[in-house]
Amino acid sequence: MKSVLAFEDLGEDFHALYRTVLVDTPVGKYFTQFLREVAEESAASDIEHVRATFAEIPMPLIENSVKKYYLEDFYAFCEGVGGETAAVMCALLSARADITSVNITVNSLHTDLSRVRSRMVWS
Amino acid sequence: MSLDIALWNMENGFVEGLIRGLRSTFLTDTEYANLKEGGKRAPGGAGGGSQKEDFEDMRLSLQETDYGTFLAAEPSLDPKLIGLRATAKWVREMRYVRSTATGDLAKFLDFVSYEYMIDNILDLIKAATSSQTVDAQAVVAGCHPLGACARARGYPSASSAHRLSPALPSSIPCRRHRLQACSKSL
Repeated sequence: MKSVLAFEDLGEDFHALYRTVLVDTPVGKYFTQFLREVAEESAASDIEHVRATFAEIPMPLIENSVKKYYLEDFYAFCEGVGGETAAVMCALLSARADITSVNITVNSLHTDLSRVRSRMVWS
Repeated sequence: MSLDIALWNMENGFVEGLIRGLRSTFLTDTEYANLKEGGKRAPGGAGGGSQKEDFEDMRLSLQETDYGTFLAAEPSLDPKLIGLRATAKWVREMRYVRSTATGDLAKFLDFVSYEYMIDNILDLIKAATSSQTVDAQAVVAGCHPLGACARARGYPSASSAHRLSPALPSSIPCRRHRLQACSKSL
C-alpha cells in the first residue's frame, strides 16, 4: 500500500514524513515531545511549523533531544519494573546519559551554546 | 511471593532457557585466542592472498562455534560483510526472544529496539532534509535492521529522498492512540 505513495514536492513529502514518523511509530512520542519543547504548543499540530523546525534546527540537537526523552522514558520504565532490572539498568542508563551530557559540554566549550548545554543536562 | 515463584516458569521459563542457551554461544577465551592466532600468522606469510587465507582461517576456527554457519554461504569475505552477517544473526535471535517474551520483558526489549528506530528515523530525516539528492537505497541499506526496516527493502527503485520517507515507518507497528493533536490537523 505504501509503495504506491509517491511524493512529488517537498510539502507532500514532509506531510508524509511527519504523519508516519510522528504518529505511526512507537518512538513518535519523543519527536512530538521535542517539537513541543522547541516550538510553541501549536507547532506539533501544524505541518508548516514541523517542516520549518526540521529544516532549521541542527541535526545533532534534534538527535540529542530525542535521545534524551528516550533515555528518560526508558529510565522511568526500568524504575517501575523494579528489582534487579532497576538496579542494573538505571545505573547503566545514567552512565549513558552522563556520557552524552559530558560529550555535549565538551563540544560546546568556547561556543555560545549555553542554551543547548542547559537543555541537555539530565538528572 | 511464593506464588510468584510458582508461576515464574509459566511466563518466563522458556525465555530464560532461551537466553541461557544463547549465552552459551558466546565465544570463549580459547576461541578468541584461536582467532587471534590466525590473524597473526597471515601477515607473516606475506603475499597477495594473505588476507584471503586470513578469512579462511577465521572461518575454520569459527566452525566449531555457533558462528559456524553464518558465513558459510559467502564465497568471499570482507570485514563489512562479516559485520553485517553477525548483526543479522544477533537481530534474528533478538527477534526470536522478543516474539516469545511477554509483559514487562516484551516492553523492555521494545525499548532496546527503540534506540535503533530513532537512529533510523533521524537518518531518514537527514536524507530528506538535505538539499542534495541522496541515494535512497544506500540510506535504507544503512538502517539498522533492529529498527524494523523489514519492508523498506521494497524501495530499491526509489531514486530520490522524496520517496524515502514512507519506507521506514510503514514497517513499524502503529501507535495511533498518541498525538490526537496532530491527527486532527492532518
